[in-house]
Amino acid sequence: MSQDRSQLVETIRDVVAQHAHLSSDAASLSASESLYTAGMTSHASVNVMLGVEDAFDIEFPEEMLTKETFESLDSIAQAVATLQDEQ
Amino acid sequence: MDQPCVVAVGCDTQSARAVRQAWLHHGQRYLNTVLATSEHSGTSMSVEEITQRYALKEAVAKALAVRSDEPWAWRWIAVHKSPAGVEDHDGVPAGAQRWSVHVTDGALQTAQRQGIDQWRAWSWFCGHGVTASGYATVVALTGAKS
Repeated sequence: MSQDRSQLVETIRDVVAQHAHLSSDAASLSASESLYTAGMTSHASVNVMLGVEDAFDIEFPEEMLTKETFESLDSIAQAVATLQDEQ
Repeated sequence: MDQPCVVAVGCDTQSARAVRQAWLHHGQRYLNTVLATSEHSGTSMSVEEITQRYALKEAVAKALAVRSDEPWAWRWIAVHKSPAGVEDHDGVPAGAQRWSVHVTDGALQTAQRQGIDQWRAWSWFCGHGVTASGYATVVALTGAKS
C-alpha cells in the first residue's frame, strides 16, 4: 500500500515538474512541501489539476477544488487516492 | 441617498505566455475550466482576452479572500466586456477595458456572506512576447444600486 502511495506521489511529481513552473527542482521537493511556497501560481495550479486528471483518468469534483488540495504532492496524492477509491 | 461602500479591492497580473501554453496543451478542457458557460462565445477568443479574463477572476478571488479550504471554481465567475462608451461615474483609467462581473455558486455565497452586491472591474493588456501580460483591478461594493 505504501509503495502504491509512493508511486502515486512520483507520478504527481512528474506532472508538477511539467506544469507547475516551480522556482526549484520538483525532484528535490519533499512530499509535504508547499507547492505554493515553491513558486506554483494559481494559474499553474490549474495546469497541474488538468495534468493530474489526464495522468490518472479522473475528474476533480468542485468540492475538491480547494487551495489545500493542491498544496503539496501528498495532498494531491490523497485526493487522487480518494477519487480512485470511489471509482 | 446611501452611497455604496467599498468592501474590498483585488488586483492581479497574468502572463499571456502561460495562458497560451496552457491552452495549447490542454485545449478545450482548459477553456472549460477557466471560463463560465456564458463566456463561451461562438467566435474564437484570443490569448489576450483569455489572459485578461483570468486576471479579472483572480482579482475577484483575492477581493473575496477565498479561504484555502474553500472550494473554488473559475467558472463560478463570468466577466463580460462592457460596451465602449459606457458612462463610468467612477472614472475608467486611460486605456482600460471595463467589464461586468457576475458570480455564481460558491463565489456568490462567499460574496453574499460579505455583503458584496456589485463589482467594478477594469483590465489592461500590455507588453510583447514574453512580457505580454494582462492586468486587472476589481472593486467589490456593498449597498450599491444597479
